[in-house]
Amino acid sequence: MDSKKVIYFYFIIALVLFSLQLPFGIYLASSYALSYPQWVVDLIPFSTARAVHTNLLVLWMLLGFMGGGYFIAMAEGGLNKIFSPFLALLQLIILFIAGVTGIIGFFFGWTQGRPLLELPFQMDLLVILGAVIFLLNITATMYRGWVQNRKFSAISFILLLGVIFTALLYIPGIFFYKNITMDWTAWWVVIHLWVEGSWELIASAVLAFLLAVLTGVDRKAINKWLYIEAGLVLFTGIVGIGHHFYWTGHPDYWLWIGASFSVLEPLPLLLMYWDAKRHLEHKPEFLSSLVGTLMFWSVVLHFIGAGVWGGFMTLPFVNYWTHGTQLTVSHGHLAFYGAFALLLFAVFYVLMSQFKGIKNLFEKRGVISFKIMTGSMIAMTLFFLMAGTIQVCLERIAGWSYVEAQEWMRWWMGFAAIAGAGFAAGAAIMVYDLFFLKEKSLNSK
Amino acid sequence: MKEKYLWLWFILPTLISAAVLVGLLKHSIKEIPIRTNADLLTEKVVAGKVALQKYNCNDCHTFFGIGGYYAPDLTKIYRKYGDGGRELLKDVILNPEKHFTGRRMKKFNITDSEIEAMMDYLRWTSNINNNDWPPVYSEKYGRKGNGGSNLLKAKKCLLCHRYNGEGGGAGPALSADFIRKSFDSKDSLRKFIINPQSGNKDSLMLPYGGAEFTEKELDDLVKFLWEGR
Repeated sequence: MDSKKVIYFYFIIALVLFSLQLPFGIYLASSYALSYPQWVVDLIPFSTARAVHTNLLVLWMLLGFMGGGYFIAMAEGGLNKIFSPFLALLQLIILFIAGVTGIIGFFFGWTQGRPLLELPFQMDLLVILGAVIFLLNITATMYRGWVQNRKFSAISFILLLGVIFTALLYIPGIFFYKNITMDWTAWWVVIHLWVEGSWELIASAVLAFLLAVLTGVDRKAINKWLYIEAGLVLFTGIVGIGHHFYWTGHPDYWLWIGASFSVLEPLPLLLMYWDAKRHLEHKPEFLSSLVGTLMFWSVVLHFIGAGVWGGFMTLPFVNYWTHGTQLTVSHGHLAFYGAFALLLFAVFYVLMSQFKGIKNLFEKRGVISFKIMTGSMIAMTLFFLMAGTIQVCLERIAGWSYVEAQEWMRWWMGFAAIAGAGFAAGAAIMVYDLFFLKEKSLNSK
Repeated sequence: MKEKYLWLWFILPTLISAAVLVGLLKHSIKEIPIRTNADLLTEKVVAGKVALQKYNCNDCHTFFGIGGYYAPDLTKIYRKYGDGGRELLKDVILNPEKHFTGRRMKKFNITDSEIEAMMDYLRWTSNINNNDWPPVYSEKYGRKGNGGSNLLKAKKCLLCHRYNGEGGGAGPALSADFIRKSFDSKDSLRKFIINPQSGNKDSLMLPYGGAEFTEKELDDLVKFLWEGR
């Protein structure tokens, strides 16, 4: 079995799941703007749609990173196949079945009832089985690279730690906790240490890999920055979990500790931006290409969405008023899109066109879809920001009731739904383009 | 620094941060039972958590501000209704279509024991010490509006009634839902406060009427009770 073909399947499945995520998002935003009749709400309640929207997000991103991770392990080890393509395919099937069964189950009320970690226990076991196969397979691939070619790079090292932590951190989330405060503590250990810890490790390894391979920058510089960035991400991010313990029944010293580490969290993201920009500019013609554009905007929006926008809200005197409002939604969408989605799109374009043997990619469709998606996402972020500001002023500060404040947010949530539809249109073009990549024809120049 | 040792730049900060987190969490976890009144966490209360998870409430509602933003935060919702409004809160959950016409809630088939357990659980969460959040229920910032809650205190309404988790249990809790269900207009509410027996001759409430309130205060109180803020 050909390793590249298996990795290609990972990307195809990830793209299909990504496409499915979007209609649910539009439904969610539109539920705020319109008043759906009781039978619609009974059929697809907001809760179910939200569970589907978020679980699909996690699933497609993890599959994307796993496919990319296999390739990096292989390439960095100087190999032309992974340890076992068969196991990789088996793992894909297991995770796909676990995810899709779980998501269909949500419609029939089969759920653990905890946001993002709704998957029932039985499906959790399948996920763990898939994760164990992945860990064994990727470690064996890296080990083979070391034994055969004496190759084990900094990128592989960070990537390996990232995937190991991701798998280990899943475990606290599968149990039932009697005390709600303990429940959220475990929940944040999973979610926070994922997105501001292990996923960041994986993302910075992937970014470093793409920079190293595509720009021809000296490896030494890449390695140095990778270590420093990854170290800073974890140094600020691990204790930074404190910004989730402000209002959850934890002692109040978390207000100080959480805030002190959280204000530093944008720093590694700023470094990542600065360093990626410098490396991309090393090869100007690449910076202006489709993949270069995706990578550049990934680090920009990563810094703005996760660093600036997220960091601002972690300050306790801000968070007291903004916590649990649409401002969080605004930050979440921009941060995920910048930090992970755009980076994964770059991976898809680089690897899928390479697997198809395309030397000179026809980029027009990709560029158009990128512009539509990014424009729509920024617009959506601003609409959520408007809705959230109204919510903070009316509900939190003026003390209006929840429902009355929501009445005044309707229009902005409606605009967000429309921006979501725009995003879906852009995404449709990109998914189509990735499925049918082609060479740039000579006379089209 | 030599390239050989660069990985220390990564490993050392990570280990330091992880050690700090583990140390703090260890202390925190010891404090949590005190701050959450874990001794009151009986089997029946936990059954309420199980039921809330079964119906996936947390993907529309939030607890501690975490979850779905489609519906109000539930952490301290029990304070709004109080023990006197318990039956009303149950009815809101069991028959949402009766209470909500704009944004709707799914109608679930919740059993009697589940709804009772939910009530006990929500009563328990409403007393967790979570650094005074959300602002609406805050001691310091809560329910500013027109000073209605100060009136309730000043006029000793809370000796018999409950509001926002405070007060006595002799009379019903003064949630807006309860008020609007019991009176067909602000006027009838106003008349009732002046002379309760004129609206319901069996009422045990004392006639506070003219002696206790100025006209302005009565207006403010009626508006406050009617709108719930």
